[in-house]
Amino acid sequence: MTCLNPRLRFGILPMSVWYRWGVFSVFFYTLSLLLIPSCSAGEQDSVVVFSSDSAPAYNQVARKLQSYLNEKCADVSPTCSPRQVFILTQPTDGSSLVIPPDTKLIIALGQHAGEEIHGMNTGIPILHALIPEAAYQQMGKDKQHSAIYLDQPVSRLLQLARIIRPDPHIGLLLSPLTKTLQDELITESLRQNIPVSYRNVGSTEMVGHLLKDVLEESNILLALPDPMIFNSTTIFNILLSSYHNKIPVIGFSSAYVKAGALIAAYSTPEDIARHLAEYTNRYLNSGAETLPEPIYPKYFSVSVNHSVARSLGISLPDETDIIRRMLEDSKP
Amino acid sequence: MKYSHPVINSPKWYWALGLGAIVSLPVQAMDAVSPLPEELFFSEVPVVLSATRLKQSLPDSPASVTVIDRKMIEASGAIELVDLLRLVPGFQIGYYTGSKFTVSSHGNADRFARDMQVLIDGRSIYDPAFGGITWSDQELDMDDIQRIEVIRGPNASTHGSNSFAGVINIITWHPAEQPAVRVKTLVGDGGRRQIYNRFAGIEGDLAYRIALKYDENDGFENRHDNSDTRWVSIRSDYQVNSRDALLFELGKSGGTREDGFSSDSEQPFRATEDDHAFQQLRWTRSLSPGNEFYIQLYHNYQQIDDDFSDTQALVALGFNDISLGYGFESQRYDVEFQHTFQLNSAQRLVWGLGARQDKAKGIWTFSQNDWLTRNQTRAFGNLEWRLNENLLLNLGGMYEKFEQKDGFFSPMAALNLKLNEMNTLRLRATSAYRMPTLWEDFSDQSVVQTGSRTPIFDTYVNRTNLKPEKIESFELSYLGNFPEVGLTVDAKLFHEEIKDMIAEIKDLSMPYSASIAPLVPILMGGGIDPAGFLPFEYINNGSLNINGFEVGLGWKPSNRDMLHISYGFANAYGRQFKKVNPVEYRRLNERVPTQTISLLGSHKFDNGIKVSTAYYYVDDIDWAGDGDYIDINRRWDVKLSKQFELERADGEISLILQNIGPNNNYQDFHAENVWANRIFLEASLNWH
Repeated sequence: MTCLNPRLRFGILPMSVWYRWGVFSVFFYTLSLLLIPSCSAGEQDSVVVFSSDSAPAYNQVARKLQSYLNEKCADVSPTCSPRQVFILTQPTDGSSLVIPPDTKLIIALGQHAGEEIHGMNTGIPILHALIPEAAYQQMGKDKQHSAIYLDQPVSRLLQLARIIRPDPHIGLLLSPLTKTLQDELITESLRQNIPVSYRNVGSTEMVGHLLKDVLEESNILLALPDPMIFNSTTIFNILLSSYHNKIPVIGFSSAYVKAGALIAAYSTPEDIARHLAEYTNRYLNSGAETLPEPIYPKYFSVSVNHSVARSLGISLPDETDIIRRMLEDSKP
Repeated sequence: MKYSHPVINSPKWYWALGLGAIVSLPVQAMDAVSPLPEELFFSEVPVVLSATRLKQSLPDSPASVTVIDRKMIEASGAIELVDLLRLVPGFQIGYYTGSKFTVSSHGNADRFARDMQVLIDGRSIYDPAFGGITWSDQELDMDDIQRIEVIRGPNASTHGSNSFAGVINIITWHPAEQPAVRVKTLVGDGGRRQIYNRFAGIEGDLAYRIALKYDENDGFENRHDNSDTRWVSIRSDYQVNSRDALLFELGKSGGTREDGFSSDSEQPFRATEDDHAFQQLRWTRSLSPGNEFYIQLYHNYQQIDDDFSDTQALVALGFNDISLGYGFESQRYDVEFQHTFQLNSAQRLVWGLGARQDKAKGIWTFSQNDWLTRNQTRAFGNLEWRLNENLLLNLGGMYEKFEQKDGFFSPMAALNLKLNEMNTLRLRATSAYRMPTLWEDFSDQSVVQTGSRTPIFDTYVNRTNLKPEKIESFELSYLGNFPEVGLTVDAKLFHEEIKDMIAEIKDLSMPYSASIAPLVPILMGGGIDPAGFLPFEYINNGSLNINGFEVGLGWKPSNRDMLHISYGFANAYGRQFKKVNPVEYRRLNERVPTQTISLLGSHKFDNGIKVSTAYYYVDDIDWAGDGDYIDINRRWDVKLSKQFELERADGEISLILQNIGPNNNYQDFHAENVWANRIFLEASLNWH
C-alpha cells in the first residue's frame, strides 16, 4: 500500500485539464481529499463519474455517490481501501476528455454525457444514470452499456393511482416521445384491471383540446415526463383544467407537486446516488465483465400536495406511510 | 490507457434546481424545445394551484357555499348572468327593467341590493354610491366564467362589510384554459341580439385574453326599456418566475338604457347613458404549497347620466319647466395585502391588511360637483385549526374603520364535525355590518327649475350620520357527500337578526318648501296628500328576524347526467318606521318570500345532443323601494344543444326556450314587468 500524495494525483491528468475545470473541480477535488482517507491504494479499481455539466443535480449525484462508496468501504472493514472516484465534466473549451487508467466503470450522468461517452468507444463498461428510459432506448445499445433509469417503473405509478382512488381510471396524454412507455403502461394497467383513456398528441397546440376529452373520461391524470405535452405553455391549462374537473394529477417531480399535482414519486439525486453506490460495489466485487440489464431506480421519494388533497377532498396518509405501503405492496 | 474525445460544450445548458436546491431559475428552463429529457425531472414549474386558487372542500368550509360550475352554467340556458343565481338556495332575482337587475338572498331588497357583496376575480364590483351592482355594465360574459362560488349568509370576516346577505364570487377562466379564438352570437325574442368575440393566447410566460361584446334587447313588452351595451375586457397572467405571478385585468363598457313609466313625473320615459371601467393588478408570490402572499390594487369607475326636464308634470300646480335627475359618478380604489400560511400541520392562517377609498359625485343626487370621499382601512385574520381528525375549527374576524364612523369588528366562528368520510355537521355564528351607501349618508336631491336650478321642493335630503346595519347569523348545517352514487347534500338551518336597519322615511313635521307651502291647502282641497312634497330621508330604525332552512342537492349519476335541486324556506318578521311625527310603521314580513325553489337537470344523448331544463319558483314577495308586491313567479326553461367538430375547430348550436310553462305571464319586480315566453338561438365556434 502506498501513500498517494496530492501532487501525484494531479499527475494523472494533464495540468491544463485540471486548470480548465475551474473552481468547481478544485472544490470537489479538495472535498474528495477530505472524504477519502489520505492513504489510498493507487492500483485499486477506479470509477469515473462523467457528466456534461456542473448543474446541481449532477453534482449532488456525483458527490453523494463518492461519499457512499467511501462509507460502504469503511463498513466492510477498517482496512478497506476505497475506490478512487474521479468526477469529470465536459471540458468547456472543446478540448479532449481524458479517462484515467485503471477505470473499471464509467458512470455517465444524463443523456448528453451518455451520448458523449457512447461515441468514445472506451471499451470500459458504462452505466448510464439520470437518464429517462426513452432517451436511453434511443441510444445504440450494446453489451457494454446499461442504465439505472430516471423514470419510475409503471408498477409504482399504478400503485400511486390506487392510493389516490379505490377505482382509478387513468387519463394519459401521449406523444411520440413517450411511445416506449405507452405499450408498457397500457398493458400493465389492463393487467391490473385499471382502465386507461389516452389520446395521442401530435403537437403542443393540440394538448388543450385532447386534455378535455381525457378529463371527461378518467378520474386521475398521469403526467409523463414528456416535454411536448408538459411545458410552460401547457402547464397552466393542464393543472387548472384537471383541478376544475376535480381530477388529481400524478406528477413526476417534486416541482410538479409544488405547482399543483396531487402526488409524485420520483428519485432524488440522493436516491439515485445510493442506488448507484450499491450497484457499483456489487458489480466491481462480482468481477463480472458485462453489466446487468437496465433497471428502474430502487430508491424513490414521494411528495404530496396536502393543500390540493384537502381541496379535492382526497384523504391521503403522509409521505412516509405512502412509501412504506408501496414497498410492502411490491414485495413478492 | 488514455482516451480522448473532443467535446462540444453547450453554453445554454443550465439546470433548473435539483431537489432541495437553492437557486431559482426562470421558467423558460422548461421550454417546449427542452434540449435534454432529464431536465424535465428537475426543472422548476410555476406554482399553478396557488393557495388563493384552491377552494376549501365543502366539508371543510366554515360557511354555506353553493358552487355554480361550468356544467350548470351551460345547462341553465341563462342569457343574463343574474339568472344563474336563481340556482342558489334562498336567492331571488328581480328585473326592474330588461337590463337592470337586483339579486337578493332572503328578500328584503329594492332595486339596489345593498347587502350583497359581489366580486369578480377578487375585485368588489359593489357600487359605493347607490349600492348594488350595475350588472349590465360589467365587462363579463358568461363564457369567461369558470365558476361562481356563492356564500349564503353573512361573511364579513373575510370579505368585509356589505358581505351581509351573501357573497357572490365570480371566478373567470385563466386564459391558458380557453380555446384560442371564440365567436358566439345569439338572437331571439325581445329584440335580443348579441355578439361576443374572444381571443386568448400564450406568448412565452404571458397568457392573455381579449374579449368584446355587443348586446341589445328590447326588454319587457309593455315597458320603455330598450337597451344596448358594448364592452371590451382584457385579462393577462404573467408568470415572472416559478414563484411570482402577475394578474392584470381591465375593461370598459358603455351603453344606453331606457327607463321610466308613462304617468310618473318622477320616473318619466327617458334613456340613461352608462359608462363603466375598471383596472386590477395583483402580484402573487408562492412561497411553498399553502403558503403565499399577494398584493392587489384595483379601481372601478361608474357613471350614469340620468336627468330629465319634464315640461308637463305639475303644470296644474303652476310649475312649468322642472328638472330632476338620478345621475352620478362613483369610484372605488382598493389595495389589499393578504398572506396565507400553514403554521403547522393542524393550523392555517390567512391574514391581511387593506385600504379603500370610495368616491361619489353628482349635481342631481348630491347637489355638488365635488367628489365626496370615504376612506376605509381594515385588518383581518382567519385561522383554520384541525383540532383532531374529525373536528375543524374556523375562527376569524375583520376590523374596519370608516371615515366619520366608529370602527367595528365582524367576527366569525365555525366548528365542523366530520362524522365520517360522508357526513359532516357544522355550527356557525357570525356577525356583519352593512355600511350606508354614500347616497344614504349624503343624498341631497331636489326637483329644480330647469336652467336656474332653483330648488322647488326636496325629494331626498339626509340629515343623520347613519350607523351601519348589523346582522347576526347562527347556522346549523349538514353536508353529505356520497361519491359512489354521485350525490352531494347541503342543508342549513338558520336564524338571522338584522338590527339598526337603515329605513327610508318621511318626517311629516318637516316644513314644506317655500314654493310648495302656499299650495298645501289647494292640494288638500283636491284630495292630494301634500306629504308627497316632503323629502325622504334615512334613519337607523327597525329590525328583521329571519328563520328558515335551505337545502341544496346535487346528483351526478354519470358524466352525462346532472340534477340540481335547491330549496329555501324562510319565515320573517320585522318592522321599521315608514313615517315619523306621527309614526307609521312599515311591515317587513312580506319582503322575504317564504319559499324559493329551483331545479336544473341535463342529459347528454349518444348522438351528442344535450337536453337541459330548469324550473324556478319564488313565492310572493314585496320588493322594497319602488318595487311592487309581486305574486308567485314560476318559470320553466329548456335548452337543446348540439356540439359539432370541424377541422381544427369545434362549435355548438343551441335552442333556448325560456318561460315556456303554462300560466307564465308572471310579473317581475314591477307590476308592469310581465314575462312572456322567449325563444333564442345561439351559435358558437372555437378555433384551436
